[in-house]
Amino acid sequence: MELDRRSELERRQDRAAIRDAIPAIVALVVLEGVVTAADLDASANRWHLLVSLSPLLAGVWLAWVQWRILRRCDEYQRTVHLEALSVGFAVAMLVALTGGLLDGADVGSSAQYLQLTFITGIVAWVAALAVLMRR
Amino acid sequence: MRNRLRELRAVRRWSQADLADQLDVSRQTVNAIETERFDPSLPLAFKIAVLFDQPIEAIFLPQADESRTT
Repeated sequence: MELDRRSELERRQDRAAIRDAIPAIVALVVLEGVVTAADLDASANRWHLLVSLSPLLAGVWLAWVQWRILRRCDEYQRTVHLEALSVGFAVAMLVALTGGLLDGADVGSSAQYLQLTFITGIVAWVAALAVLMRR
Repeated sequence: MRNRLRELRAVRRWSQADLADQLDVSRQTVNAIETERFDPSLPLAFKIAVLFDQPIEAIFLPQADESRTT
C-alpha cells in the first residue's frame, strides 16, 4: 500500500522548504530571545534601537524563504498560495482597522493591536492555505 | 472546462501521484484538474496531451455554455 501520496515534485518542494526555513526560524527565535533578554531601552541609545530591530533581519529572511517556496510551486499551488496570502492580508487589514478604531476610542493599546494584527494575519494565512490545499 | 483526465488515467491504472510525477506537478494539481476546479495552462494541457498521445480537444472539452460564447 502506498503511504506517501505526494508526487516527487512535492517531496522536492518539502525538502527545499525545510532546508530554507529552519535556519531563518532559528535566527528569528535567537534574535527575539536576545532582544527580550537584553531588555533594551531603545529611546536612550541608538545601538539599542538597532539591536531591538534586529529580528527584522530574520523576518526579511523568512519573507525570502516564502518567495522561494512560491517560485517552486506549480501553477495550481501558486494560485492557492496567493489566494491564502490574500485571505491573510484581508484579515490583517480588518484587524488593523478594528485596532485603530478601538485605539482611537481609548480601548486597549496600539502595541497590543499591532501584535494582534501580525498574529491573526499569519494564522488566517496558514489556516486558509490548509483549507484550500485540502479541497 | 470538462476533461477526461480521470478516465484516461484509470485506463492506464495510474494513481494521481503517478500522473503528477510524469507531469512534474503536485498531486493536488492533478486532483484539482480532474475535479474541474482548475483549468490547466496551455503548456500543461499540451504536456497532458503528449503524455496520453491524444489531441488537446480530445481531452479537454468546453462546457455547453462556453462553446456557445466562442
